[in-house]
Amino acid sequence: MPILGVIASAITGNLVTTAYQSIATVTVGSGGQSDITFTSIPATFTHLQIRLTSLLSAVNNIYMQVGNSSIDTNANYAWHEVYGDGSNAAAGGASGQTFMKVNYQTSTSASYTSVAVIDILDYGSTSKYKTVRSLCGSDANGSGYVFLRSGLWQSTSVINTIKLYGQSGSFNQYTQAALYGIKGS
Amino acid sequence: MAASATYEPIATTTLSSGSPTITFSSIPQTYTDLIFVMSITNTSSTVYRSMQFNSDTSSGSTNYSNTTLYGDGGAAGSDRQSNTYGIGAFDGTSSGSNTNSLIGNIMNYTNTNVYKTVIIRSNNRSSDSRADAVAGLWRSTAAISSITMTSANGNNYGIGTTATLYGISAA
Repeated sequence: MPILGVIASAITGNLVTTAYQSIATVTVGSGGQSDITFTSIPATFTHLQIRLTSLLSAVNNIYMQVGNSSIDTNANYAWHEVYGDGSNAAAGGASGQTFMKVNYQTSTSASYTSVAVIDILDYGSTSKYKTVRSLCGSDANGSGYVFLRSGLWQSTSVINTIKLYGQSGSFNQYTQAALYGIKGS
Repeated sequence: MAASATYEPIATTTLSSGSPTITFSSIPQTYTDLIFVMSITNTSSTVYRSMQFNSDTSSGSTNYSNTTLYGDGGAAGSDRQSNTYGIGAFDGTSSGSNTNSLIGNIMNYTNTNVYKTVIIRSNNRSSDSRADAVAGLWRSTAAISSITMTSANGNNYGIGTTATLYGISAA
C-alpha cells in the first residue's frame, strides 16, 4: 500500500493570512469554572468563531448567551437542531428561550472531550438579529451525538460579550474556548 | 483584546496517481487546532474514508470510534462505529467533474491530558450521494504528529485528489 508522505515542517515561507485572527482564549484550570465569558470583543471583524473543546462535569447541553456590555438573560433567543445519536436522526427547536444550544457533552469521564465550531455571523450589525450556527458533538466509544445547530438572538445590538455555560455542571480542567475574528474585505 | 493573525496552511498534496492513503507527517506542535480539507475525485469504486493518527493504523487497532448523522436525499439517519480502526466518513464514487469533499476539525491535538475529538463535515456527489456530519474519537492522550486518511476498503483516491492541512493558533 503506497503512502504519500508530506513533511509538513519542510514547508517554508510566509504563509500567514490575516483575515482570520485569534482574539482571546480561555483555558480552564484545575479548579474548574462554572462558565466562560468573553468581554470587550472588538467590533473590527465581520464574523466571529468560537472553537470549543469542553469537558463538562455533567452529561448535558452547553448553552450560549450574548449581549452588549452585559449578557442578555431574557427570553430573546431561539434554537434549532438536527442530530444523530448513533441510531436515529431527529430534529428539535424552541423559541422564546433564554439561551442558544451550541454543544453537548456525552461523557463525564476525565479524558472524553466534546467539541464545537461555533460561527457568529455579522455580530456587529445594528440592523438585523444575530444568527449563530454550530457544528458540534462528541463520541464516547459506544455513545455519542453529533449536531447541526442554529441559534437566534433577537436583538439589533452589537455583540461584544459572549457567555458559555452548562445546562448543568461546570467546566472541568483542560476545557478550552478560543475566540477568533474573521474580517471582510 | 489584541488580535493576532492565524489559520496557516501547513502542507498540501495532490495525487498524480491513485492511492488508497494520504499521510501528513511531522506535523508542527505549535498550533491549537488542525483543519484537514480533502477534495476527492476520479475514484472508480466506492471509497470509505478513514482518519487515523500517529501510525495507530493497524487493522488490530481499536482505538477509534465515531457517531454519524447523514442525509441521502431521501431520508436522514445516524449510525455509529465503536472500537474500530479509524474515524470513518462515508464516501461514494466520483468521476469526471464530480468531487467528494471533507473538512475535519482536529481539536486541541497537542493536549496530552485528554482523548482527541474530531468534528467532520463531508459529502459526496455520486449515484449514492449523501451529506454527513461526524463526531469522531481517538482514545489516546498522545499529541498528534501525523494524520493518515486511508481507504478502509482499499480502493484508491483518484488522480487530482487534493488534501490540505491548516493550523490555527489560539491567543
